[in-house]
Amino acid sequence: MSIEARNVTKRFGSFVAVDDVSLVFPGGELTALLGPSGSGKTSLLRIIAGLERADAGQVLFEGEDATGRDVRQRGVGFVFQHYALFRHMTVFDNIAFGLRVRPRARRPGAPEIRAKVMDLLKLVQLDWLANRYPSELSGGQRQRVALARALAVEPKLLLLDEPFGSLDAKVRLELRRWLRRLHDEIKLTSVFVTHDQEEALEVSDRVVVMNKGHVEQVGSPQEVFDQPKTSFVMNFLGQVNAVKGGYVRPHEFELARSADAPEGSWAEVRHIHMAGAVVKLELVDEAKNVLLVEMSRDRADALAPRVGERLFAWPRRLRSFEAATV
Amino acid sequence: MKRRVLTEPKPVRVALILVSLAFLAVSLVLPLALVFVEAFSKGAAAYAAAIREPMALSALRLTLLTAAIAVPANLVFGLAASWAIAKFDFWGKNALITLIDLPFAVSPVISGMIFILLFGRLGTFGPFLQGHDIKIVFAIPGIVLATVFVTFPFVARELIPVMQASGSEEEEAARVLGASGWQLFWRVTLPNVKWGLLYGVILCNARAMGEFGAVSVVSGHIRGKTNTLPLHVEILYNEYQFQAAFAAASLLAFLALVTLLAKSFIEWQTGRRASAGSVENEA
Amino acid sequence: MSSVVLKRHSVLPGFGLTVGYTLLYLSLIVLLPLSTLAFKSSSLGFDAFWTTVSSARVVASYKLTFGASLAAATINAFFGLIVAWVLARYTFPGRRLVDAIVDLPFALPTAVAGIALTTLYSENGWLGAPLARMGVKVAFTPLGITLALTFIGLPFVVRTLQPVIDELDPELEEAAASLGASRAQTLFRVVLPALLPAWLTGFALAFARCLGEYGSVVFIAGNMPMRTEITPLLIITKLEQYDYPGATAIAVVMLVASFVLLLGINLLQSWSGRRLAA
Repeated sequence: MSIEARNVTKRFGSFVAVDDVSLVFPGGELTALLGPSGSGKTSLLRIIAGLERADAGQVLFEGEDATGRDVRQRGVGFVFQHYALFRHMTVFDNIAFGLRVRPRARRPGAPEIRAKVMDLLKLVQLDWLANRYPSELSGGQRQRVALARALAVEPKLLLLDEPFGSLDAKVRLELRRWLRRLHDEIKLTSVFVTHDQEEALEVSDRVVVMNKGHVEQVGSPQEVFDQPKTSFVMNFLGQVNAVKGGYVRPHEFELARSADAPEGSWAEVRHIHMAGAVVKLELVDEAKNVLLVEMSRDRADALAPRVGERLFAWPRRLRSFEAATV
Repeated sequence: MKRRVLTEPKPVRVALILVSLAFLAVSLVLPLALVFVEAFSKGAAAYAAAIREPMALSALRLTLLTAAIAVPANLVFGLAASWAIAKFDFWGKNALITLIDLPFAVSPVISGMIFILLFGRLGTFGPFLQGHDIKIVFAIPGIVLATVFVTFPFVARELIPVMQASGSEEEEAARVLGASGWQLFWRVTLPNVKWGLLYGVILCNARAMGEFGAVSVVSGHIRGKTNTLPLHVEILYNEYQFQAAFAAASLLAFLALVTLLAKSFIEWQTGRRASAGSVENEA
Repeated sequence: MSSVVLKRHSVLPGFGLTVGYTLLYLSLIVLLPLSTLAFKSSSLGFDAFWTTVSSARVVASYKLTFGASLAAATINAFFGLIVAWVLARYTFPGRRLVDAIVDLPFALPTAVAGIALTTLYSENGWLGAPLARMGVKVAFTPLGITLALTFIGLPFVVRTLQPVIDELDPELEEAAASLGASRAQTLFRVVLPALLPAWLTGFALAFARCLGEYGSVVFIAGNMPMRTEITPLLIITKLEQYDYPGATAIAVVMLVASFVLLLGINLLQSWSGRRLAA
C-alpha cells in the first residue's frame, strides 16, 4: 500500500514539530525517516499511524483520504520505541491480542488464533518463548515480540518508532539485518524512524532526511550519502571537514609529500589512529583548522605518515551549498 | 534497597534499633494490645455477648452498609479521575489534583459540620427538606455523605501516580491493534493498575468503616438507628461499659490488622515486581 | 524522542466522560459542601466573626490545639527520624513486622485509639499507674492530649522520610568519607541536610493532621473549658447548641490554618523535588 502525506503540519503549543511536509511512500518499500531529535520524524510517524492528529494537511492511504480515519480502522502495525508490550500478558497473549479484540463476527476461532500466533513466533524465531512474560525477555526478544504483535493483525503498513533505539550495539546490528531480510520476505510497506544514519543507510530502500520539521532530502541511501543536497544532510550523514570553498568528507582527502594539486594546503600530522581497517589521521593546516582524513590500511602503509611531519592535503571532491553553514 | 557499604558503628546501630522498638512498642503496640486484653477481661462469654447484642449488630450493619456505598462510589470516581488526569493533558490539571486532596486537609469535625450547614434544620436546604419530609442529617444519608466526603481522595490518590507511571504506550498499542475503549480499559489498563487500585480500596474501606469525627457530628447518635460501630464504641465507653466498649472496639482493631496485612501483602507483591523489572533492565 | 514532553494522547477514548464525571462528583461531594462554610461565614459579618473567634474560651482552645499539635509533631519528628532511618538502613529480625505496624495509626479507627490511650494512661492504667506514682498525671491533661496526637501523627514523619532515606545516593556518603569526614560528620553535614525538606514535610503533615484530630483525643482530653477543651470539640458543642454561626467562625479559622499548612507542604515538596533532582 502506498502512503502519501500532503502539506502536513503539527504544532505543540508554539513549537512547530512538522512544518508543511509532503511525502510519498511507495508501496512495498522500506523507508527510513532520519533526523536528529526534535526534527519531527516521530510526530510524522504518529500522524501517519493516526496516534496524533495533524493540525493541517492530509494523509492518504493508496490515494484515499485517511486523515480523519480512527487509528483502529487504519490497518497499520505500529512498533513502539519501548515496545509497549502488555506486562501482564504472556508473549503468546500479547501477539494474540489484536485478533482477540476483534468484533465477534470477524474474530477467528481459538485454534486459528493459536496457529497464527505460533506461525508469527516462528517467523520471529521465538516460538520457544510463547509462555514467558515480557519482563523475562531480553531487549532484542521484546523487540521481535512487538513486531510479531504488530504483524498479527495483517497490517497493510508497518510503522516502527526507533525500533533499535534501546538495544545494545551488537544486538542492534544483528536485528537490523534481520529486519531487512524479513522485509525482503514479506514485502510490506514499512516506515521506520531513526536518528542513527548508519542504521538508515544500511537497512532502508529510501531515506527521508528531516530537520526542524522540514524534509531536507529524499533518496536512496547512496544518493543521500553521495549527493547531499544541503549542508545539513552532508553534516548529518557522516563526518565532514569545512574547508575554504566547501565541504570534504574525510575519505575524500588525498595526502602527499609534495604539492600535486592546485587546491589544497600543507598541514601537520597531529594524531594517527591505526586501529581498524580504516586509518584515521588528524592534521592541522596553516590556518589552524583541524582536518580529519581517512584512508585505507594499504594506502596508509604506502604513505607511512609520521606524527609531526607536514603533508600536502587536497580534496578529491569538494561540495558547496548555498548559504552553507556548519 | 541500594547496596551500601558505609554504616554506623554497631553499638550505635543497636542503640537506634532499640530506641525505635521501644518507642513503637509503647506508643503503638501497647494501645493495640490493650484493646484485646480489655475486650476479654471478663472472659470469652462476656465478649461474645457484647458482640451479639442487638445494638452492636445494628451498628455493625450500618457500618458495613456505609462502607458498601462509600467505597464503590469513590472507586468509580477514582477510576474516572485517574484516567482523565493520567492519560490526558488539559488546562487546570494540577489545580484539579489539589482539589481532589482537599478533604484530607479538612478536620473530620468540619467535614461533618458542612453537611449540617447544608441539610440541617437551620441549614441551607433545611426548610425545603422539612417541607418534603426528607431526613438527611441525623439519618443514614447524612452518615453516608459524610463518609463519602472523608474517604473521597483515597482511591484517586493511589491510582493517579500508578496510572501516570504506567504511561499510555500500552493503551496506544492496544488501540492500534483495534481494541475498543472498554476492551483496552479492562484488558490493558486495569490489569496494570490492579494493585494500586486494591491498595486504595483497602485504605478507603478502613477509613470508611472507622470514621468517627465526621460521622459523630451528623449521626445524632440514635441508638439502633444511626449508630455506626465507632459511635457504638463511644456510647458504651461513656456509659462506663468498658468491657463491652473494648469488645466492639476489638472488631475495629481486627479490621485494622487485616488492613495492615493486606497493605503489606500488596507492597510485597508490587515491590517484588519492581525489583524483578530493574534486574531485567540492568541485564 | 521529539514529542515525548508534549505528547497528547488523542487516540485514547473517554476524556469527556471521565473529566465530566470527575468535575461533577468533585463539585457535588466536596466543593459545594465546603463552599457553604465560606458562604455562611461571610453572611456572619466581620464583627460577629471576630467576637466569636476572639472570645477567651475559643482562644484557649486554639492555644491548646496548636500547642499540643506542635509538641506532638516535634516528638514525632525526633522519633520518626530514628524509626525511618532504622527501617530504611538496618536489617534486623522482625523488620517487616515493625515496618507494617508503623501504619497502625492510619488503619486503627480513631475512636478505638482514643479509648485505648485513655485507659492506658488513666490513673490505674498500665502506664498511667506508674506515672501517677511518680506524680505525673497524663489523662485529662494537656500532656494526655499531646500523647494522643503523637500516636496519630507518627506515620506521617516516618513514611515521608523513609523513601527519601532509601533513595539517597550511597555515593554521597562515600564521597564524604573519601574526603576524610567521620561517620558522624557525614550524617550531620551531608545526610541530614539532604533529608531536611522531607523531614519538614513530614513534620508539617503530622502537625496538620493533629490540628483537626478529634476521635483519638476527645476521650483523653478531659474537655474542661479553658483548660483541656480542644477546638474540634468546641465546634461540636456550638453545633449542639444550634449556634451555627459560632461553629462556622471557629471552623473557618481552623480551615484557613489547614490550607496555609497545605500550601506550605506543597512548597516544601517542590523544594524537596528540586533538591533530589539536583
